Amino acid sequence: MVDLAKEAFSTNNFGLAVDIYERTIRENGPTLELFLGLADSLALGGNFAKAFQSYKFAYRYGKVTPEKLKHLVASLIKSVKQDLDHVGSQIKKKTCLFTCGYCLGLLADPVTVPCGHTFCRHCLEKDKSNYCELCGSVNYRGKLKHLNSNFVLTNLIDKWFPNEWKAARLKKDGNEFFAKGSKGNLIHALTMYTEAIEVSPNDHLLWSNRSHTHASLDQFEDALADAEMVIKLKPQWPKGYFRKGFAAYGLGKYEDAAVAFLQCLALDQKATSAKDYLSKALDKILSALPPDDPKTEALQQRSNPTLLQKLVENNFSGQLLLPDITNTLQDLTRAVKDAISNTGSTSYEPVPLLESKYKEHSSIDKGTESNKLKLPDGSSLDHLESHHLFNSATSSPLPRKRSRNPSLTQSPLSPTHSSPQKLSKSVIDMNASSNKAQLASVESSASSNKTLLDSVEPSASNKKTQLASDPMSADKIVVKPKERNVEDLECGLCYRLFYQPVTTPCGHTFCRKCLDRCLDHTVTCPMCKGNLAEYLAERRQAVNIAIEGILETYFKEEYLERCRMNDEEMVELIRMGSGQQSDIPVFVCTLSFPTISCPLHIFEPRYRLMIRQCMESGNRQFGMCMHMPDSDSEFSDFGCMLEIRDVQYFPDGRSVVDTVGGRRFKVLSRGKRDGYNTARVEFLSDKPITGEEMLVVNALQLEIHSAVQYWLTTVPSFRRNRIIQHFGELPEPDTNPSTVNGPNWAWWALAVLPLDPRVQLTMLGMCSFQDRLLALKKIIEYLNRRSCH
Amino acid sequence: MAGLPRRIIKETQRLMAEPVAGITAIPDEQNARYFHVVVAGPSQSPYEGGLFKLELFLPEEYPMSAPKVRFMTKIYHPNIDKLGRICLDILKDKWSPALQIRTVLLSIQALLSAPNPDDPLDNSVAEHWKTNEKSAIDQARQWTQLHARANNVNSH
Repeated sequence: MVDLAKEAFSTNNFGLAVDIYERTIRENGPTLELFLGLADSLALGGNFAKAFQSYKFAYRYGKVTPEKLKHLVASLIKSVKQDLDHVGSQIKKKTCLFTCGYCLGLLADPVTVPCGHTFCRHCLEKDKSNYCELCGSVNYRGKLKHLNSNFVLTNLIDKWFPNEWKAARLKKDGNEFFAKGSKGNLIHALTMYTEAIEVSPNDHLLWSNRSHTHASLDQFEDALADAEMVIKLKPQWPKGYFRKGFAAYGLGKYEDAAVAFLQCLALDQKATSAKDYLSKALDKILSALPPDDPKTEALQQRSNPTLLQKLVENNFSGQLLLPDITNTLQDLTRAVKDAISNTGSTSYEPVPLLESKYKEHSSIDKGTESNKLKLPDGSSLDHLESHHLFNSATSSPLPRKRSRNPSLTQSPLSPTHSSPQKLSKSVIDMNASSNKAQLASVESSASSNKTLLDSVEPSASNKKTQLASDPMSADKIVVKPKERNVEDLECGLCYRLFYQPVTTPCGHTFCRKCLDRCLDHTVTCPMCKGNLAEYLAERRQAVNIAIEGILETYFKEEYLERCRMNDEEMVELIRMGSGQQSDIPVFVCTLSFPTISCPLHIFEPRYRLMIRQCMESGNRQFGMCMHMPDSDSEFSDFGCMLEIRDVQYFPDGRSVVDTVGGRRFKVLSRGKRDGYNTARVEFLSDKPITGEEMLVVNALQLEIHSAVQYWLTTVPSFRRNRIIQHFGELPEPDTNPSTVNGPNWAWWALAVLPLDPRVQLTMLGMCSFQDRLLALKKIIEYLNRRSCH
Repeated sequence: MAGLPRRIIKETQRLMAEPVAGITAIPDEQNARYFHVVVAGPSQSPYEGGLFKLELFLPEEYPMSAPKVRFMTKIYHPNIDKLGRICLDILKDKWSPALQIRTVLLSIQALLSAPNPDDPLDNSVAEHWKTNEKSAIDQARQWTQLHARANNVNSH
């Protein structure tokens, strides 16, 4: 039987496992192993109230080590986990200016990682994962030592936050004393931290370090007070709760400790030391001797339950565990959402995030409700009831919900309720109807959230408003206008305010476009000559989020003006290719023809820039003219637009651009822009072919088309294959040759036939299809004559 | 090119507002890319007491390419030739767009303080410097007196 239960457990069939364990306990009598199995199954099935009872029993029947509680701990973490990954990082992205995403303190030695986020170097060194804490993109960990500190941010922090800077230095001294360890040093560290707190009382890290030092000196009362301060300053920072838990544990307040560790884990599931201590605290709670007078104790608990008891009752709702956080998060999410609906920006996606948060709760609530609703009639564990610690759970059904969602009473995720005969059916049902159940519970969770909100609102509302107005205290520091110097945020290349600032691995910041232009010329940093080959090869484009945020926040007018300038430049670039007469960028290289593809290898700096501008402006086209070495003008009077179909970049910044010919043009005047040629041009169109001409033209078209076809057969096969490989097959004659550029096949022929470029150029400029046909005829005749000789 | 890039305007403004000690750079009235520059010979150099006229031109591609700088005043220096062309790495392959007019002029001033005969432009002068530095320095001092005296600058 036990094997069966274990198998059910290992296949996540916790309801079945619970049933089997219960039956075995009834039939064979209780043992440590059976109660532990039952408790683990209950815990993983989400029924914590009963799980706690069973664990307590297990402790009566033998020695249980904290490690044995790993399933309970894992399941608790899963239950309380806050969906901070999405919502939190969105908010952080919005608010992190001078704040490190790890320690939530003022950036100390700020390092910008390739995704554009900035963290304290120390915090980055501590994180062993490969992913950015804020956006999850892969950052190159091992190369952290190759990343220099961000000069712009270092300078700004030094200027704008002198007190915090001083406190940070004191903290550093304190940390050094702390690291040395002896009692004398710890007391020195304590003095440093206290001094730092006096300079910068809002820095939660200082309080946290002092709490840690107090705890190391066994001064747990002081440690607890400091930890409470940390939480007050930064309720969203997991470590504050760990400090609190640690101090409470030291004071023997195990329930408080367990709650605090859970709060920590709710915000950071990776905190392993919090997990260890949670096990230890739970172990202490569960192994405590039963009260002398269980009835009075139970009564007292019911009338004045501890937070842990309340949590157990409510199956560890995030709302109850971290009311400030959940409320703040919702407020902030709403604020972000409002901001978006006002500005029409699409960079955030708050709606699905909000929903996912509700789902998170719903999955917890779902378990709660189904279990609670069942318990009154689930009398199978009668003999447990007299002893259990958290018995209030059995007597707290939620009638409001039951009446609203009757479907939930039949929830297939209600393991304890199913009788063994029904089990196989409900197992099958589980998959099929879980979606439905989830849908139903989303609705119910909204209402349950509300209930909980209402109940915690009065005590939390003060804190809540404080939180909402001060989510990242460092960012709220008002910078005096005198200190707010535009030159601190000026690009060293264009001498304007940063626009789309990017930070190099060597720590220098430029406008993205300015740096791109430099990299066209040489792959080194313009400031320090540091090698940027890797930066270029990875085609990093990530804007420095902190600096952009600082611009938006503290240099709003100047930044808007800068954005406007950029928009104007873009408009100018876009205008280049539109209208009947317009200014276009000119690539001076070869002749190209309408509809004929023209692959280009781009390596010259000026053309790298030109292609980039074409792509960025969305224009995606430029003029192609022939080089005219013998003439006064640098390039031919006629040319053809090339439309960019694709750009493939090499790691060194060169590229292969796949283009196809578009409209033809005549050059009216020549100019220069950013080092490349430009031209004012008039676009060319073929003269319309009138009704009576059409017969003649069509006859001529067929004649020349077959002549070209014939010529192709006279070409040696290796050459013919290469022609077809490059230009494709000869297109068919056009039934309506009266179009802007005339039939494609004639351009194909012009591109393929072995002609002097000057002849090709002349024909490109011809605005009559008939004239071009006659010219082709002469050429073919000449070629045929030549091949006969 | 439509107008003068903002960078050139700003650089000019800053050069006027906070001039470099011993250097004046004034943009030409007709051409804002052309600067009339006067560099005072650094003290404790053979060029001390001299005022050297230079021309500085910002090409179309500036700052992607280096400014063009040339000595107008004759100078006896191993890295400056008879035509006044200067052998200075940052004006050639070591140019960086983050450098500016100010840094270029400072580098030229530094070059006067520390001639580098191992990377010569004018071989005969460099040779002279290497074989008999004292005599070369004397010669440089004489040339300074002859060509770069303060009252010569304007009549040059």
